[in-house]
Amino acid sequence: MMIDKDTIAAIATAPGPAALSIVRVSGPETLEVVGRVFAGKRPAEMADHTIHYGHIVESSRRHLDEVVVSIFRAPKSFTAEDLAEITCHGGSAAAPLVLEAVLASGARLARPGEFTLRAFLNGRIDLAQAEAVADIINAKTGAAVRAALDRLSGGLSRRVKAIRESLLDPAAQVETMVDFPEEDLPPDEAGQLRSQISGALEQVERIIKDSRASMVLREGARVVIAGRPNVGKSSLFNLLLREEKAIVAEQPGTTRDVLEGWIEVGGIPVRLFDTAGLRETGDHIETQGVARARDKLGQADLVLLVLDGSASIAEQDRALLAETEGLNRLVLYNKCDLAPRAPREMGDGWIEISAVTEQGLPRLERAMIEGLTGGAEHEGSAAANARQIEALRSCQSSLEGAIRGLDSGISPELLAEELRAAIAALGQITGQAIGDDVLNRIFSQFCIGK
Amino acid sequence: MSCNPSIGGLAKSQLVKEIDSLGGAMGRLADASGIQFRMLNRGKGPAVWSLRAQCDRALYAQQAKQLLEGLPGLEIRQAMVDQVLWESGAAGKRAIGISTDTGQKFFSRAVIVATGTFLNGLIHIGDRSFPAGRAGEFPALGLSSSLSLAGLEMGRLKTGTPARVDSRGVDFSAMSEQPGDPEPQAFSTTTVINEVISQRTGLRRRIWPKLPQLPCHLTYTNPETHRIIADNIQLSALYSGRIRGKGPRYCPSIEDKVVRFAGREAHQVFIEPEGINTGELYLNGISSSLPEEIQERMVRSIRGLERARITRPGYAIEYDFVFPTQLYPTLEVKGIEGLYLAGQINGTSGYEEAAAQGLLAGINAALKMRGRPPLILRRDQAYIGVLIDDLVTKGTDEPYRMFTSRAEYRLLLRQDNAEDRLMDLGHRVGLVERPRWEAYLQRRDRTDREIIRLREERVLPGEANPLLEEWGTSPISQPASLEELLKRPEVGYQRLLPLDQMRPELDPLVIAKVETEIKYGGYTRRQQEEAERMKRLEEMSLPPDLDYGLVYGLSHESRQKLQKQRPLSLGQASRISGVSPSDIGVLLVHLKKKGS
Repeated sequence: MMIDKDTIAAIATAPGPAALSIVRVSGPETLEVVGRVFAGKRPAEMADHTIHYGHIVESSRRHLDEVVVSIFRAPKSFTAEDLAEITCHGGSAAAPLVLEAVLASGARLARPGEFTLRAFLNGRIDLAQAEAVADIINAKTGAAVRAALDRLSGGLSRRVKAIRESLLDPAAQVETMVDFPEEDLPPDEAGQLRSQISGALEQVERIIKDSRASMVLREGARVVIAGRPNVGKSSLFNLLLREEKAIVAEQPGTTRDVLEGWIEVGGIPVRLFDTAGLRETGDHIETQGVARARDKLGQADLVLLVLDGSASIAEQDRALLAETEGLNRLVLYNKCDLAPRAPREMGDGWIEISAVTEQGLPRLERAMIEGLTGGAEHEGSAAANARQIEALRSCQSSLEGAIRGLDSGISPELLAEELRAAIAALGQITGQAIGDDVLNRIFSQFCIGK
Repeated sequence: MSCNPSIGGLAKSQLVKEIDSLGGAMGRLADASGIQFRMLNRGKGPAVWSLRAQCDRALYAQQAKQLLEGLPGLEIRQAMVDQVLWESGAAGKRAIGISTDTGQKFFSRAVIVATGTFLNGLIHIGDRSFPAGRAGEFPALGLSSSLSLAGLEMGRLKTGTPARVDSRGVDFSAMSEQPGDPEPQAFSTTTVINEVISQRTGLRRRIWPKLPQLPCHLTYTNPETHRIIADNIQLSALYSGRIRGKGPRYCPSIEDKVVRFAGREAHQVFIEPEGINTGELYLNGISSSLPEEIQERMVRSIRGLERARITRPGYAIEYDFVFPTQLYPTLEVKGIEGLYLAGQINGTSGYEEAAAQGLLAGINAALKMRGRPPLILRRDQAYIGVLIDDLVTKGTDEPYRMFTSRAEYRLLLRQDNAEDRLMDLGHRVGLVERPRWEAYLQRRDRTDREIIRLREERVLPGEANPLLEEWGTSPISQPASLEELLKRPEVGYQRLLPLDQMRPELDPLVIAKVETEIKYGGYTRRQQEEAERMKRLEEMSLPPDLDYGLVYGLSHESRQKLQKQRPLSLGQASRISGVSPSDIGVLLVHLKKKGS
């Protein structure tokens, strides 16, 4: 509801190419929320109306972006509440990541016009401006806007509705156990309840994954080139970029910082990163470069792990193969023009290329497209935005809770809570309240009543 | 009680406890006339435990009458009311009293109408139908048209009741016995269960329930029963097209069960005693409007009832109701000041739902006459709040019965904490008297202190682990508080005694509450936070005379709905279908603008 006193966040700058973007956070827990994602001075200790340099980090402490944070304490802020502005890099990739981190640390995504509404309710802006707020709020339901939204989210909404529908049966079953203990009800044979719930969970996870793919399509992907020193990462970088941006030399450890450039692969905008060779080194500057390379690895939508195809597989290669195991990655055997032999011990799933002769390049591009979109059905299907993903995540965690509960034998009224929460979360996307759906289900399926 | 002789059950027992905590009589009456008490859902969590009592029908009515006759300041008159009197003034209509079929008029500042199934009641048995309020009583005919003339929109509902039989023809040995709890709990916290017989030793003796306790019995219908019904289905008033009122889906007739669930070979039939001084039995589960002779054949096809004699046949009854969205959450009619409606007239079914509304309508009428603000219960505060909000905000087109699944804050609305939720309000409106209020405060204080004690009292792994292992729960590696141990499903307060020798002597009500509070802790906190957010919307009131045409930025649909329904708070407005969160935002801006 609009008068919630919780902490909200949103991207405050207009979408589109720009040098900087601002993520705004407002509400009583602003300092705590920002504190949880900001590596730098603790916001609670920052003086009012000051700016501070640092990094936004994810829960795993990986750096997401380099930012400055400004703190405005209540009541001397736009909303008259505690407010923070996180200024991050512009373009389409950084701000959504920062916003996502802020949401994950306890803020709720602001509704259209909500910052202004709070400013008004807290007496910061006047009547004329308030009329404009009504317009902003109302624009959401304006016919044209709604039609556009419907077109965009039609496929998603159909899928979410189907999942919601599939959850009504298990919900009805559990509510019936609670409300009608004396009825002769068929017991849950063969764990039907569990399979229905995990079926829905899989669907939800699938949409989250698909949405990631379509987000990649709209907002661009991060592709990171990694490998031990001197396997030809920079040559590959230059090749893909069609420009001599990175210095290429025989000497290992030439690239010490992270270089980046934009390319397009099969219509997907790709931000390509070249990183320092990953190795243990005594060189202080190179060590920092290695640390940054590792950070970049964590944020990558796709990792191109480069191995030297002309040499045998080194201990360092094995370590890297293990380190990138869980990531979305392609293994490349570079320098295949020098030693055209397939390293059998690695099995399948690698690509031979030569950054010099451009051998294998078309195959690499195809593999990158496949790797970035994950073969998702993005044609007119899920295009969930951050708000919808937030709802899907909350549904996911409730369903996981329900399954854990079933396995540990929790009481049906607690199981029912998880299912209600899951259905309500999906309802935030489809606009359906729980209402009498579950009761209707109960009466149509079970012979209830003395 | 015109249907089955029982009070309570799922969600309904929560209603009874709430009524009791507000100072209402239903719980006390059921405790005094109960001949069987059972706690349902014992195998599940305490939020959904529900007490149900079989009552002696005659004794319940007699106790209720005695209680009323003993109230100072209450004058009782009995007559058939055929009109609500009202006058039109500058500010709209206002109820001024009633008139009876003998032509007498009574004038008052408030009128509360509670008609049960009597409003234009029509009984159906087979192809026969006749006007009646319930079996053997006159219907209220004039009153319905009087309400309609006053401008109220009315609909028609249906309900039914099964045959009753003489116990002398019943073979109980062919049925399974359903006894009550050996150590029953009471509905009302005023009911004294134990009496201290020795002050010196603290020895107690159980002195309640006062009446002899009787079992119920369970038997089943069979394919032969179903064949008799199916062969004669066109003779049932329900299937011959004679009935147009909509019936309750959760309380279907046996005809409905057989037709809709044709694959089932048996349906349960509970045999319930009507009282201790009568041999009549109520056949719960087979309400019917088949002709009498078919009902007799059907009953006699059931195991244990082969030689049973029907004393009164079952019947279906249709009656009028008022679409409840025409009411404020105070149960006062919008547009007719001082007229309040309660019970079946608002589309509900069930004694508990009716009693809850009667109590709130009475409280609100009295508060209004004293010029005090109304009492409106929130959805997170009471099932009564859920009930009334559902009725006046969403409306109903079938007899409305309470279910725990209707409550979004089910874990907060427990029967063990009804006092904590409501007694303060009951005390403030003057229905809970000082001694009872003080006894409650003492209980609450003991509960709080006991929770703190359990939190602070620690046990060492050495003493606890052998017992924990015996109970099949994991051992502890460091000292743990008794509260932490109590959170485990395997551990109960009584079980903890060997690790907690110094515990104080406590009332069982206090122990139950302590245990529930601790076990549900995490879950209830989540619901409390949600409720707290919603509460802010509930507390922002909307003027009943607000002209929604002048509110800038509302969508067309919600403007119309708000204009018609006139919600009293932003919370209520947000639950009207078609009113979106954006509309609530717009209303908020409007309210703020007017306020500043």
